[in-house]
Amino acid sequence: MSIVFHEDYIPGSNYDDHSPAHSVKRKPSRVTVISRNLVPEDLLAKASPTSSVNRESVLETESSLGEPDVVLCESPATNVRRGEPSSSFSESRSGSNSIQPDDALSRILSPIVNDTRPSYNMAAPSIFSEQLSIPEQESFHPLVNMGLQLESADRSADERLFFSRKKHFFILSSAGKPIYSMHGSDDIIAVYSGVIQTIISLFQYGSDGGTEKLRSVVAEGPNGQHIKFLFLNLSPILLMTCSTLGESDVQLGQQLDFLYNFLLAALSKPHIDKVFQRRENFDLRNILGKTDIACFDAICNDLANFNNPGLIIEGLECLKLRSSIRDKISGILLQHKTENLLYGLLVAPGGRLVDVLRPKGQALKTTDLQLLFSMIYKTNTFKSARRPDQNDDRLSLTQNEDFWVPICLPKFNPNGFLYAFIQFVDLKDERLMKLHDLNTGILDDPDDKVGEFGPYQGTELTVILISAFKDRFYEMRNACNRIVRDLQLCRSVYRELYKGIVGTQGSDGSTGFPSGRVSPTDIPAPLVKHFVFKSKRDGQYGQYVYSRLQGNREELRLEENPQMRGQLMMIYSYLHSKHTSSIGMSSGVIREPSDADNDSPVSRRSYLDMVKWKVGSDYLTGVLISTPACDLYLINNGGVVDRQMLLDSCKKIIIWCRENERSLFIRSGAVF
Amino acid sequence: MSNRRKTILKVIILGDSGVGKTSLMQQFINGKFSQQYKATIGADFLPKDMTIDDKQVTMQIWDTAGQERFQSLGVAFYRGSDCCVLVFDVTNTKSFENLQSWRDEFLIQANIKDPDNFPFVVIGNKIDVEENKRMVSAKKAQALCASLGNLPYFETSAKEAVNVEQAFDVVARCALQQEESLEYSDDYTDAVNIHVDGDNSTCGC
Repeated sequence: MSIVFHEDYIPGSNYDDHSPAHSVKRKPSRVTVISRNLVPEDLLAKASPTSSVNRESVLETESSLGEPDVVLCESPATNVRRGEPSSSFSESRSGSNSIQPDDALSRILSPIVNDTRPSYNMAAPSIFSEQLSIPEQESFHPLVNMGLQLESADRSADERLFFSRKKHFFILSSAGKPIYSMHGSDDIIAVYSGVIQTIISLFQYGSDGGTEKLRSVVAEGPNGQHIKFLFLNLSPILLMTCSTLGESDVQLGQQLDFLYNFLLAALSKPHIDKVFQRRENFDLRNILGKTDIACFDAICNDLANFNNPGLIIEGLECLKLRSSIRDKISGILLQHKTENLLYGLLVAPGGRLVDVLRPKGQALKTTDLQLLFSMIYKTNTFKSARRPDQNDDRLSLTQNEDFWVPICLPKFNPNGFLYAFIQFVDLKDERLMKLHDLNTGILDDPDDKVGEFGPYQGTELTVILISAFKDRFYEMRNACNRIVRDLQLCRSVYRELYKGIVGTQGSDGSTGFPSGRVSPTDIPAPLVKHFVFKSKRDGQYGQYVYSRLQGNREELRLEENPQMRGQLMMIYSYLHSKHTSSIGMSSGVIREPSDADNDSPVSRRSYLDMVKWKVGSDYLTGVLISTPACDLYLINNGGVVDRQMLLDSCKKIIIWCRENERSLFIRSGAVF
Repeated sequence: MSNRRKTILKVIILGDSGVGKTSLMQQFINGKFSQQYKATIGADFLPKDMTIDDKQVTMQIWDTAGQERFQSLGVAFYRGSDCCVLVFDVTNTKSFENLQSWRDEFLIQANIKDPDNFPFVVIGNKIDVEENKRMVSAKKAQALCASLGNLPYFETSAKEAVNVEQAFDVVARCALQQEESLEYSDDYTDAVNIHVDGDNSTCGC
């Protein structure tokens, strides 16, 4: 296959720039791709006349420093700015309103309420428009079926299948040797790794001697869908993703950054550098184990299916817990902190934080925890069959076993390994349930029943104790055992953890859905089907509340279903993508998710967007409100919406979350 | 742990424009030859699965453009190669004379640390032509290969499929040997010390 790029610079091209007028200067250019045989013909070739390329000279990277000024120069006296050239949003974004960061909530919301323009933006990624005909009865589905097709990693040698995939991830070495690919056999990826390396190099080593950094290419696919290719050159490692799912450059950049960080987590930065310094032709797959590949697959599947809310929302979910109980747990953690214990984490199923033990001024980074939780909860590494006689493939976290895992936490320190002691403690323990007067009826209700409706989420509390020393296993294990004993024997702590993770206790002896998540019905917020509230000022992480679906018992059972969660998160991801692309990307730098919240341009502005989709005869409305202190993502399902009422509900949710933040979020954790 | 996965070998093919690099590739991989000359733009990538002494390998062959205007890509193409194939046309003296500069260029651009031991394979192509059109004798070619460090030399015809398989079999063996030459030493478990930035008292490390 051959590729050549004809570059012709077009002044003022049709290149779609959502960033503020004064932001990073980018050189618009057009790329023609001439392909033979093996170029992703479906992807690239057809797109040649219309594809746009987003790249910039390396020399221009400093100009991003000027970006915050753009935000600050907005006049504080103006309440609402809409459609003005100087505002953060272009006129074309109907339904998006630039709003004053420090205004009271009511003032934030009023512009939308009074806006009489048709403000629903029906434009949506192709995936939405493709699936417009839904059978009538589907409108009673708990959530409108948006037609999300789940897709998972494979190693198929079928090129047709390879090109039909809606999302790809590639990791390769600077020499063009493959390291990981989400799809495709060795033969297929050996070729495309070479192609990707060449495309990146074409810009890096320009024929005129100049150096440019290729960031992204948008191509038009065979069905008219847009395919975005995003490149990340972190020599000696190169990464590329291509996606038809409508993510923004910022989002795709964060996804590649996350994959790269997992590579660091598995091998550490100096190790990777060292092997490539010694030999550029090194095949890095030689030192990646099966568990590493499985974790790459799991991460890519989650990204392709919108199945890890934390990666989209850029934060961590916490278990809702009475603050007095969380304080007690912090007390227990501090009491059993040992000399070489660096970090302690208590985590509920699905990677929801219960509490954190940490040194003063040394918060763990969101990305590091997301990596750790992806390894633990998304792969089979820490799982085993629940019973020896269990013959299906559903696995749960392994109990009665202790794990000691070397892991590099790259955002904490990419240069070295830490050692994590991991133990899973099942809260559904008959002895303890009887001791603390909890309904034991649930013990006769096997997990299999829950499993029918989606992946079994589990009833285990995970204890993770991290040390910097690899010979401290026994010290960590002793500390863990003491912590677990105290958690189990303290009646109020055990009962609250049980209710939050396993199930609430009905007065009639029944067990209800666990209380660790809120439901829109807990808040007087009519019309809201589901929401995510992200707090940006609590403690050290971006923490968020992921609500239950509003609905009957059957619907609630479905909420862990990947299809269901994927559809919710697809909508939130789309809202987030519109928001991030309205800001533009800081030049050449992939912003670290959530850790830069206080300084990033994103957080300095307030933003409101409402998008409505028609799916069959049903309507679905998504809302994103972003302020410096919080983000609220929300979904309304079905029918004609009273916008005033919906916005009132937004207001109520934000106020409610603020009032209850002590039980919804971890403020500082147990600090020593 | 990696025994079942095929080793990827990066092989790069260099030589003047029109010596038959792409034809050799096509003959080797697809068993086909086309009379029509079509210049390669940039590079072609072709995969070829082979078995070398029971070892499964995938050759990732980088068929580069001989034309000068693509030479700025050299650095990008050459680095991390496991073997370099130098091709000349036995009917074209200039293409033979340029071999050494292709080799030197490769060694510099690819930043080869041990140039004396890097595997090159030299191929004199187009031996199907009439004897009177032949400008470079086998003896002359062998002498050059000997002077460059006993490089393996093959005379081939991409057109008539003479010696192509044999040449690439040696290429694959050389590449595999190079790939395995520096065995990976598993020293990363104790190589790194963790530094808790700015923390020297509380965590006890």
